[in-house]
Amino acid sequence: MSEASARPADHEFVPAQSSGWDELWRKEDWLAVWLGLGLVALAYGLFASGGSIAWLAVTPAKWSAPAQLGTALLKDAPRYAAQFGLWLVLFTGTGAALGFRPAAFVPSFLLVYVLSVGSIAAGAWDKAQYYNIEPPLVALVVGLLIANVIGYPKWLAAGFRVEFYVKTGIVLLGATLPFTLILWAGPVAILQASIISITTFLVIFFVATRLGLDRRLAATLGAGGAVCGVSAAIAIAGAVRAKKQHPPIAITLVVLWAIVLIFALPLVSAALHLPAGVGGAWIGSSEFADAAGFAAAQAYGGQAGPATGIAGTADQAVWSYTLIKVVGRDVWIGIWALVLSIISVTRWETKTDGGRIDVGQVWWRFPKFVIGFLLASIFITLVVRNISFADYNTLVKPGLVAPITGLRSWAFTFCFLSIGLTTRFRDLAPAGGRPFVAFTAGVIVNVALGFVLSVLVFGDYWARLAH
Amino acid sequence: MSIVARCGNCRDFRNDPGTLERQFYGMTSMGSAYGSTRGGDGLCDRHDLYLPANASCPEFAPPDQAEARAGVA
Repeated sequence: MSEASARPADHEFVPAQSSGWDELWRKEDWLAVWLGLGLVALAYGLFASGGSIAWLAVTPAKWSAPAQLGTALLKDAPRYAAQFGLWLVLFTGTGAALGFRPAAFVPSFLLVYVLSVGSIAAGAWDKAQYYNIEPPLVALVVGLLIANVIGYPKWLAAGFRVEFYVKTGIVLLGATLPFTLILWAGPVAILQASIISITTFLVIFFVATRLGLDRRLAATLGAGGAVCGVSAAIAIAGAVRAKKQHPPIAITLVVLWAIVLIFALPLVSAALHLPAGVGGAWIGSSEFADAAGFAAAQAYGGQAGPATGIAGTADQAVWSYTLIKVVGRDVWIGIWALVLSIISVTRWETKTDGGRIDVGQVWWRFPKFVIGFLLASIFITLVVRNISFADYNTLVKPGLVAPITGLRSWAFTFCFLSIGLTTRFRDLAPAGGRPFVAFTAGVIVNVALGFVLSVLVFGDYWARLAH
Repeated sequence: MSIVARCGNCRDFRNDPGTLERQFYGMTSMGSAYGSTRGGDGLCDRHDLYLPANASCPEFAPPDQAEARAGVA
């Protein structure tokens, strides 16, 4: 770990060992990598030996009457039981590594799984698209209702791990996204995301400081709106040595606006009949947290089809979203933290003398699940490189890629439910008027600029994604 | 064995993920204290700051030496 000293200390100092080997099994990001890559390896192993993981990756099929759904669920009960067992073992085991007691995690995850079956089944109704019933939004609303109206005991929250599920889902998503597509679209995604991130950060920071807010709070709010929501706000709060009350203010504003945008962005995209890839790009540019954005992108992608007149495929919405949000925005959090920590240490005084700029944070703050995402993409791309298009469609897609997509949908649904279940509005910290104004200014600019870049500037590019 | 005088070793510093998630309500809604981006950052109860584990200050006090800070408190 390299380090630059901006100010001499008057006592002994040794750089912190922030990133030891134990991170590989102690940090959520790495555990999601192992879990996701393990599932991809299992799926490929079965496929290569003539079988398929499709039996385990069951999801409710299209239905038109409740009795039909009930019959199908009963018929496939052993498959659902086996799938639940697989998820339970994997998540309970990895949860235990993070310190969650299995006794609390198991009943909690059982609730998540049962509600997920209901959410996905609701989306499989043959009139669901007509009524805009999208599983991500159903899961989110159900979770919010339980958390805010019904309530649940605190111990039951052990399995409501939004980030763990979304990171696992993102690794699985890598296996369904060709690496060649990442190489082709990555530079544009990074360019678009960088323009939006820097502009949004500067707007929030400028408005916040003009309103008289502490610069450390302004930076925390700016990162929350510009980079990756709560994760960025927390990372930057640490990097700039924020006051204890700053992170909760940013969390409140990110969560509230992210939930508004989960519903608003797909709604407006649909009203404008944006192609799925374009809508996904806009969501990737303008949503804050990964989990919230996936809910919106998947919901919008689910609306694509002749019935709605929305061009493109569900995958295109998720892919363009992922490229801009994960590849274009998330991976730069370490750089943001480094730059802001330099400014904080050299320009903004705090009570601590911690005047050291840790260059190593570029790596130890790096969202490691992105490594799993890229490895999964490279692996599957290499595996299918010599397979004809016809064989891909008749063999690889149904036997390997589609089941992994199914497992990904489950992981994301666990995540969307958990967003709702962990969001109790009355318990969020009061944000205050000035932070709200500053953050909202950033949201307005972010959404408008995201629309201009995604629709007007790069619209053709995102609409053609994967063609 | 001398203890390195950094926040991560100070008795006033708390960076346990569970503690942070309880302290920052809403963090679990769209984030996590168990992820990589947080690093080892935590709360300093003495200065009411949220800062990296490798920051430091003259008021450092090791967990088992409450008296170490007596002269500066």
